[in-house]
Amino acid sequence: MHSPMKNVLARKLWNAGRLASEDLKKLDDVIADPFQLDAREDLIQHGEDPQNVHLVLSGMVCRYKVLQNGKRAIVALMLPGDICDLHVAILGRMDHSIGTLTECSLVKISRGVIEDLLDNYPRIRRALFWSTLVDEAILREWLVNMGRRRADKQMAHLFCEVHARLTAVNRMHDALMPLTQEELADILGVSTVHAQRVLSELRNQGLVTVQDSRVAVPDIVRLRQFAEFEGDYLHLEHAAAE
Amino acid sequence: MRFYFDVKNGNFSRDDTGTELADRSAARGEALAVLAPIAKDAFPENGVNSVSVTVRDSERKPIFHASLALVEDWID
Repeated sequence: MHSPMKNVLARKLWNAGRLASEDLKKLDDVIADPFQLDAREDLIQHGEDPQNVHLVLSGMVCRYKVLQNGKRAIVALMLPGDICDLHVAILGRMDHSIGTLTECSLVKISRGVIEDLLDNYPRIRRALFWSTLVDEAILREWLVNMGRRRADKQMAHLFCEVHARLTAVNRMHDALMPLTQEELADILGVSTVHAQRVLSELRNQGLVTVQDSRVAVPDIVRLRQFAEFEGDYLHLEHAAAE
Repeated sequence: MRFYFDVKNGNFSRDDTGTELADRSAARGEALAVLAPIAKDAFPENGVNSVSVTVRDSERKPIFHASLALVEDWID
């Protein structure tokens, strides 16, 4: 019996609905050959025409753009179980860059394998479609966050989201999130000084603790209340039982 | 170089962590950039009508100060 707990890709796709054992076996083949990458390394740069897509097994990856003035905007976080760039199998040239934030374990999946999954595994195809739609919903929420929430609630909301996403794939180990103040600033679209100030406000209120640039959440219920976080946009309500 | 940014927006918050920046001019830039977003969140709640920031250098000596004030009046 294949356990969807061990294979983080299967664990993630399982959240879209039940997979058959042939699906799980196929997904085990897909992740069979991982490689490691250090923190702050690019996987793909803007303008490239990649032949593979990347799956995150552990660590944290981001989607980002750099402006001419050198400022960076992080527009998505990819966590264990997330496929970084599924759309490049269809869109071709990259319109943004993808890089690691932490040390990562990743898997390269060729366009051929993606096509095989889409053509021959309908449950996996549906789950991949689900994950793409959820990515879009997350992006929507980030837009709301940036445009309409106060910086302290915006940051708290982000922590709630990362917490929920890691929990959904059983990877919320020791409740720590490795995000530096610089990365937080680039995600929230504020200056690093502002991000640092907001983070220390959250810390003073006991909503988060920070150890070596890693954020921990002592009481997720309290943080959710503060952030007015409703996780509905993550669409985990149909997650199949294990 | 490490710089520390103390902010007053109704209450005082002292920066004990600091931020690594290239030079004094970058620190001034950060200080000015941080005023508007803090004001955006702070004004006009709780009667707060000014926000100010004091920058201290790596020896914790104050080197720069800037403030932003909200002026409002009924005109009828």
